[in-house]
Amino acid sequence: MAVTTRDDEVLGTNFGTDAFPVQWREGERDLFWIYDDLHIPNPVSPLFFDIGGWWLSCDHMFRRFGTPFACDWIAKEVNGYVYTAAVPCDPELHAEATEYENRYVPRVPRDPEYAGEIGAYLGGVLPIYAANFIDWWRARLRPEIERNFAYLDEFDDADASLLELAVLLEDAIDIHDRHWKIHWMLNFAQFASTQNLNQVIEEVGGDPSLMGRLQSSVEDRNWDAIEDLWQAKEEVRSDPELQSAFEAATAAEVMEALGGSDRGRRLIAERIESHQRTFGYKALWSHELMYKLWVEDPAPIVEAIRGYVATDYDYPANLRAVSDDLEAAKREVMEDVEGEDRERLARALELSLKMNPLTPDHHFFVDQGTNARLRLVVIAIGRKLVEAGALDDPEDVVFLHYNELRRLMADPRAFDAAELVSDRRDEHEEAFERRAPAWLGTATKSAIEFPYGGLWGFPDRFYAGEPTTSGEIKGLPASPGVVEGTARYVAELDEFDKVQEGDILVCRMTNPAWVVLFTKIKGLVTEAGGAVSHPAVVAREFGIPAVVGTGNAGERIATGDRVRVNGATGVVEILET
Amino acid sequence: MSLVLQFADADCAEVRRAGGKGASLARLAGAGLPVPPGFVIPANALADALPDDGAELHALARRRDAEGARKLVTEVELHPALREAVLAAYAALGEDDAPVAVRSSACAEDSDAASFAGQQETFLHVRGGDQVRARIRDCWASFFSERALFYRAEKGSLDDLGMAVVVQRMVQADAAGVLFTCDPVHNRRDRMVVEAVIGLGEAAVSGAVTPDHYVLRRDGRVRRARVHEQPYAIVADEAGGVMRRELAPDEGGARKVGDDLLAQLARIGDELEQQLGAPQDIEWAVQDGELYVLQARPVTT
Repeated sequence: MAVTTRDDEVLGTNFGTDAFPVQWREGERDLFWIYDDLHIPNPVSPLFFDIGGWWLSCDHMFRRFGTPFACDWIAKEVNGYVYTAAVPCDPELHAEATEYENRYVPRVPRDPEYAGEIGAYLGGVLPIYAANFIDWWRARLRPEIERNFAYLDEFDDADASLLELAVLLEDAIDIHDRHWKIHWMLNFAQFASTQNLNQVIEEVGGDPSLMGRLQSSVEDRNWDAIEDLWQAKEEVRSDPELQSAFEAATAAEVMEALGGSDRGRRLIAERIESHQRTFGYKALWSHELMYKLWVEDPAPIVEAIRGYVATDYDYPANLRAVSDDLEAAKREVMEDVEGEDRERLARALELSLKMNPLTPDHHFFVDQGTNARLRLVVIAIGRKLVEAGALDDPEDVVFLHYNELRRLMADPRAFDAAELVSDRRDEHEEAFERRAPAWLGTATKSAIEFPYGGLWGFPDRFYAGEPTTSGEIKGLPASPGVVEGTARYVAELDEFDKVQEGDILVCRMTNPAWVVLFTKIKGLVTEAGGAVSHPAVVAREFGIPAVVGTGNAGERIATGDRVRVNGATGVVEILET
Repeated sequence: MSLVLQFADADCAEVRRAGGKGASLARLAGAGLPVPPGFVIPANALADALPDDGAELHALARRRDAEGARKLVTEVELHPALREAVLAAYAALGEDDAPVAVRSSACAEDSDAASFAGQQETFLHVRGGDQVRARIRDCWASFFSERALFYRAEKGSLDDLGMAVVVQRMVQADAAGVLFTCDPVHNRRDRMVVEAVIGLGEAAVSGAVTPDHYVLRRDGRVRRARVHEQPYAIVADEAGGVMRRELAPDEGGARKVGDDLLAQLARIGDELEQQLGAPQDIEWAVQDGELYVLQARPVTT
């Protein structure tokens, strides 16, 4: 791996434009900042940026592993959007960063030789992690995480005082910090085991294209959640009364219909509420505090069951298909490998396969489960602040900064928080009007080829440049969020099966029969409708960006066009392809 | 019981008698809001005015004979008393055949879903007693369309003949639109949202025209104005009904409402929300500087 230094060849710079101005602090210009649309595509809330970021524990990760390619990972909020930059192990580097609202200097080694000499350490310890992590996870780390969850979940926030909750928040922050440290260990261990398998396959002359198929997991919390929903679906399909309740227009109306009968109430208690408790510590976007969790609002569970009912989703067949494919890939990779090579490959394969469930499980426990618990503590504080007359809505609390929140917990009359929240909510909405470029700062060859950059599509995205717009359609903002994707025009119910996962649905109007499509699409554009029309209400329920009332979107957008839907400003752009 | 209800009548505020729309208008008028004058033909009027008290119509509906039911509703001779009452109430709305809107007003609770079943008819700018009576019958007939009967067979009851009709003086709107007393998209109670077009609000309903979008603070000050160019307006046609009026770019591209009107809307909205206890979705229109409230319902977010 190349060592990044500031002497590296500069391929390009973006220090801001009139449309997207940037304020630079000391040293920041020299770094390569990537827009974190992978985790936080929408404008970030002040509180999440201060206390919730995945980047907060990265210095620990780089130190623990002795990585020569970076020492810290820092974040910067620009016009509401989160950009992050890896900090190279360069003693000459003087940049500023912010964590928990405090300015600090990213950790770089004092020793200029560090980057060149530490690589052997990394190479030495990675196999230890690869070989042992799954055992540590099962015996030690996962139980630790579950103990922490139990502490937070069982805390009686209703009877606690504001200052008791202030201390609970610090506990939740500590737990968040610890779980994210575990997250990064897990990442490196998994990386090491797949890399090891890759290498062995290559050495014994196997087919490296099988790697993708060999990463499948058939036993994890994700499959458990799917099985649980599938069982609910089986129950609904076998009972006409339940089935008719699921024909209501919105999830709230489905719940109301279910609540009206004994059979329906039993489904709520045994299926929906139990799913909420077991699998509900997640939200539409995990890396934010402002989205309601499934455990707080069962709407996404209702809609998932509805989607399964509509397609008669076959969980056993789906699981079998994944499992069969994995078994086939295992056989294929072992084909014609004999003797000692075969033993080596079998060992590497076994180790790597054991790690596969960690991909969905670490999302369940850390990205989703841990961030969800942080939200619940924050919202509990929000409720107290509403009681104390400092805020209008418990959700307002995420629009405060960390230290503003702490001052307010100490004295709910310390300042006019409601007015501040109104302004911050306005800023948050206005942030949607700017388009965040894919990167900022200084792009050097080694920076754009940084090992993790591939997660955000680099270096390809650097060379591709920003998309340009060939047309703009104005409508009404109906469900905030910005999404890019392939348009699919649907005129009739019998065209529903043409809609692909991740399409942006363009249509005249929707009604309850269309709800099955909402589990598949990632954006919505309608010609008719207003801010409280069916497509708007249901899009908000699903958290799908939507623009309604465009008039003639169906004439101007063709199926297959690449479009960008801004559900906060009501603008749909047709992108050049 | 009176054959037609005035908005000021006590039982006009009952959904069972006046339907959802009729009852809502009665409550708005009762709250002292500027509602254009009108009257309601109550839900029981059709059955009561039929020679057999509705026995045949009930039978046709139960058989799901849409054609037979609609023929009966549009052609049968009704008790003359209802005719007289409608004509008198209409005449009281103004001289020279005052233009009115004639609208279905269903009693079923899930009237949103019912509108998908085509049970909700609206006729704008209807003039003259005979025309008004014909459109009332058209509203009734819509209640017996195949889709409507199918819908009630599935979701309601075929015995349900409860469809009221609202007749209300048209506002010759210079501008019209919707006021939300919250921001339903961002789920904010500290803001209100106004959508506005030139002419009748119907231009925006179909999506053919994108209305201006204003975000207000609760005290009525404009926080954000998003102006959309309006290519044409829907306005009253002198001959009856409505027509399109093309707008020059400088008219269609300008702000549709001023700060004063927005502040006035915010005041009315705030008052109404406090009286009714929940955020409201209010249809409004302005004519010669006078603001009218046409409809209000709770916001579904």
